[in-house]
Amino acid sequence: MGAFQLGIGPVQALACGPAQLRLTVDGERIRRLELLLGHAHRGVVGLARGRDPQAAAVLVGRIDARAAVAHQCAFARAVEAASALAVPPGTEALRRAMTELEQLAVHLHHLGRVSRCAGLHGAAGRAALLREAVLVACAEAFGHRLMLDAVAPGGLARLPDPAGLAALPAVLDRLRNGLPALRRALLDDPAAVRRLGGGTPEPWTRCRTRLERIGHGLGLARGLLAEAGEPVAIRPASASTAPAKETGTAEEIGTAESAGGTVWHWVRLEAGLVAALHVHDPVLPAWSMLDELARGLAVEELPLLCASLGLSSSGADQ
Amino acid sequence: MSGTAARARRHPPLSMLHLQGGGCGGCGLEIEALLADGRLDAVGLLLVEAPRHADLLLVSGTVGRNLLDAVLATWTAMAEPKWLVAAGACALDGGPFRDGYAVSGGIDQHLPVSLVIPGCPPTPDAVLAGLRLLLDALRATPDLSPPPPPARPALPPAALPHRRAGGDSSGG
Repeated sequence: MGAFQLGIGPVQALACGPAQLRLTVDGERIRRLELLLGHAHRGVVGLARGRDPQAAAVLVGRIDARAAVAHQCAFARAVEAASALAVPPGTEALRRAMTELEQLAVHLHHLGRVSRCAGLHGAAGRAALLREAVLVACAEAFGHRLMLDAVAPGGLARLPDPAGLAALPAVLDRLRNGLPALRRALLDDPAAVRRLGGGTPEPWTRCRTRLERIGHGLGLARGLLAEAGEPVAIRPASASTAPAKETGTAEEIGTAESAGGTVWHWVRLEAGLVAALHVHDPVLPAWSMLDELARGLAVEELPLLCASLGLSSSGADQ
Repeated sequence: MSGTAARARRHPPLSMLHLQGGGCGGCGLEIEALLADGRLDAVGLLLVEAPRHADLLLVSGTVGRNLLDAVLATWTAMAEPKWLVAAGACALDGGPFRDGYAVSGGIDQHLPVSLVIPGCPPTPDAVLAGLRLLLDALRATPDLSPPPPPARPALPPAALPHRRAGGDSSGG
């Protein structure tokens, strides 16, 4: 018997955004997985070129909603380094706290999706509740649930709400209290271990890693929020002065952490405008692992694997 | 809320296909949040994966030149009567990417849109409010056959008004 080929996507392809896959299957086992990305391409770099960095910041925040703060921060840091803009230490601590909050929400999102794929509805509900608590708190503190348009070169795009900022540690406490039950439902429950570790151990081990990162991130976020201090120290971007090197040309790199890994932006400024930009999103290497990890799996186990990898075509296609 | 729930019980659930285009995926995250907490079921909407099973097509994200054929094919594969909902700034007009070479404008340039849910991204509450509005309109007609005229309801604004990040420097 020869192998069969099976096409998936680009619409409704494994809930990772638009992507096209061609599976070569032997019986029900995947022998090979070919990937065609690019359906989510918007031309972000092309749109950013020639823009004022403040206007380009709105655009790079929308490269991937799962790493919105990370992209905004990486871009802002690159621009700040290239134009010698100084950011107050308190503001920098707050920006790092925001990337930690984003990572908490995204890890919870992926855990929820993995739970739903595996039919673990109790765990999915717990993860969704905790994620919602983070997003509501972020909306109150930073004006947007996903913290879009929150960071700008030079500091923050707008002043955070003091009451919202003061409420963040209580949300971190709520997460810390809710985490053990989620951990038990995903890692210790025998049915969960069987479903998550059935075809390949990858989903289970990734859930464990995400839970560990959430625990670690809670501590980091708490420390950074304390370090950030009072929001009066934050300088809104509108008040930032013109870049020191406005007339010249400068190139710099900025990095930030997202739930999937490190995001980095290389930017070249000419006369204060973005002349060139390169964006690295860590989801692209994650896509390239898919073929290797999917080999030998049954076709119906593929959605769970994709959910556990946290794949998205937004960050890969840009 | 209770009125809608009661109506949802009287009517068979409608099925909806969520087509995620390009864009940042924020709309997809917010729509998935509705799925996770069961509020989509509560208003009588069932999420399906095949266009042939779908009554509603919910489009979020940019419809790029790369994706347009697939979107049109999905719409063609859906059985009549069918309705299209555009959620978020990208589906509406390309949003912050509407001037990009890869983006082919809003979905309304290609297909008849019955409902627009604005926001970048719309909050889960805004998505739900919009879908409920459409469902109520559909259920008010005894035989779901005639597609309603395009509706552009005034919905509660999303957390942040959509900033025009396109080529004009006037809106940013």
